[in-house]
Amino acid sequence: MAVVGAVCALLCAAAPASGQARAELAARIDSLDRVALSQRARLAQLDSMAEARRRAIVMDTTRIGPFLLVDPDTADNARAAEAIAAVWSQYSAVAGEGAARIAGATVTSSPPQSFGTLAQAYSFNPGIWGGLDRERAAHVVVRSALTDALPSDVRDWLLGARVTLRPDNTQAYRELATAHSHSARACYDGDTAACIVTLGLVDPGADWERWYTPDELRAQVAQRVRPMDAAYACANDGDHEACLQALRALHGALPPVGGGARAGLLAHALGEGGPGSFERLFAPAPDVGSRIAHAAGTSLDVVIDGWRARLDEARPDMRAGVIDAGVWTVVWLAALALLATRSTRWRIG
Amino acid sequence: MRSEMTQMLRLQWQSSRWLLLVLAVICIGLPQASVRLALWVGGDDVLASGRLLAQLGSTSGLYPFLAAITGALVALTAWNWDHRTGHVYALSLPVSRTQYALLKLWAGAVVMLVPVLAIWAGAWIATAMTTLPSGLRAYPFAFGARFLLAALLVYATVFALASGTIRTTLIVTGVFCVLFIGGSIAVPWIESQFGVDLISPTQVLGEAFTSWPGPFRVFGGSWLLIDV
Repeated sequence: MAVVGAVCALLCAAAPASGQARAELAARIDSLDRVALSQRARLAQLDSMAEARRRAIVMDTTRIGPFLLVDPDTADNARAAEAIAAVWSQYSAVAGEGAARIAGATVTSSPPQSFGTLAQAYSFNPGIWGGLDRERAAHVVVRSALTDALPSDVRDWLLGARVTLRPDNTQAYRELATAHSHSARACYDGDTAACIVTLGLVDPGADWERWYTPDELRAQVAQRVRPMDAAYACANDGDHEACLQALRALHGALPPVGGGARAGLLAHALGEGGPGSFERLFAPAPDVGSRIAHAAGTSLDVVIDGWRARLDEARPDMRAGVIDAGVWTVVWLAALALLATRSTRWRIG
Repeated sequence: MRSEMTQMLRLQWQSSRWLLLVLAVICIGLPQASVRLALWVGGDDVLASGRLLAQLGSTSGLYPFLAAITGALVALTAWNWDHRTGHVYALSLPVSRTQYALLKLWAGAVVMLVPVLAIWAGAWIATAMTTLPSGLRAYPFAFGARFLLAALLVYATVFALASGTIRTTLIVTGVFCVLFIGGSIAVPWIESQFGVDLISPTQVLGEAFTSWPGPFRVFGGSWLLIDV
């Protein structure tokens, strides 16, 4: 009301007017006040309606392995539970006793405002990603929970990628084949030690020299810095120290291959290690490489060689796809040609 | 028989030559345009491989579309003058309907080699005139073969559809659309009402495009002209 009074005083001072004009101004100010009040009343009404809706929802809690699915009791909830159970069955053997580390992880497909206390729950929502179906949404939930439970050094090493048992090795192959890094090229050519360096399992060196040559570092600066920036000059004049400083200002050189390839290595190690391999990641170990070797139950070199073999198997083979396609295409062509010959010429009228 | 094949080929050529010319120009130009665009966007520095692949991937969706258009248009031109003249011409020929349809199928497939050879040439020229970044290879032959198979499949499908009357074609297409749209709406509703899992038309179509022996699996593969 103090504000209303001040506005009234201001208006009255600005426009000394007749009694009728003053009455009109007062009416307008009253109406403004009423609008504000009605808006506040409307908000309060919405709040109470939302609260009533929250109370009306019958929540159902379903336990699926280590997960707790908390959702309204609907048919959708039952299908979400089925999808998570199906995906968890693929991961449960690998997780072994490590499942206890994610015990009680809450999953929900309801919007967060339905129950504020579960804001940290894993979201199961096939709709969020458009075409993503229930199975993929369940994969996201299970993989996210397992990733969050990882030892922090392994989680950091993954560069934001999630634990998976179905890595995209084709993409990793592409990444390795096109990486502008001497260690990645050596890894591509089958050098196991170079793969260990490329995957960031050992220190790349203070100046990232185990990953990149000075020329390769300069090329990275040229890519990451705008031409008008001072740091860009090092790419042209070949001042290696200046390039190193530029990269340090950019929080370091980018690894030759990203998190997807690293997640692929972890997936291979978990697969090789079999039941309980996930739990073995938590055994005391000096570094990530040792953890991975421990999980796989073999030496790191063997794990890396196996991973490289998987990448070679996943190499995109354009010719093979066409040959497969050709065989089936001939079969379908014959069927369609047969269909076409069954039409009749007698169609007049 | 040879003269009948020649006559049918000549007839097919006459009815579709301008269309084939346009398609050939597009087919020879598109691979070159997409490779040039990828090089322009990706840059010519040593780190360009990844960007080049990403850019080529973003335009690779045009090729299956072009293959489908090529196959469909050639199939439609094959039956166009039959439909226009009420199939009188076919009735006047001393060949069986089966033989007539096969001759027509053969003639259409042969003239479709014009755009297919054009895209092959376009892909070959585009990659031969480009210095690829390290780690990348060109696959113009496999790319052209994929285009040929995809175009042939659509050609045969539309040819079979168009071999009937326009009414039959419309009925078949209409029933397919109704089943697809109706099914896409009905299946989720039935699933949510009765708590059952059904196969939706979208899934069936998806399978046809992504797995053997789905007829359109060739469309689901990689259409990259350049890859690792």
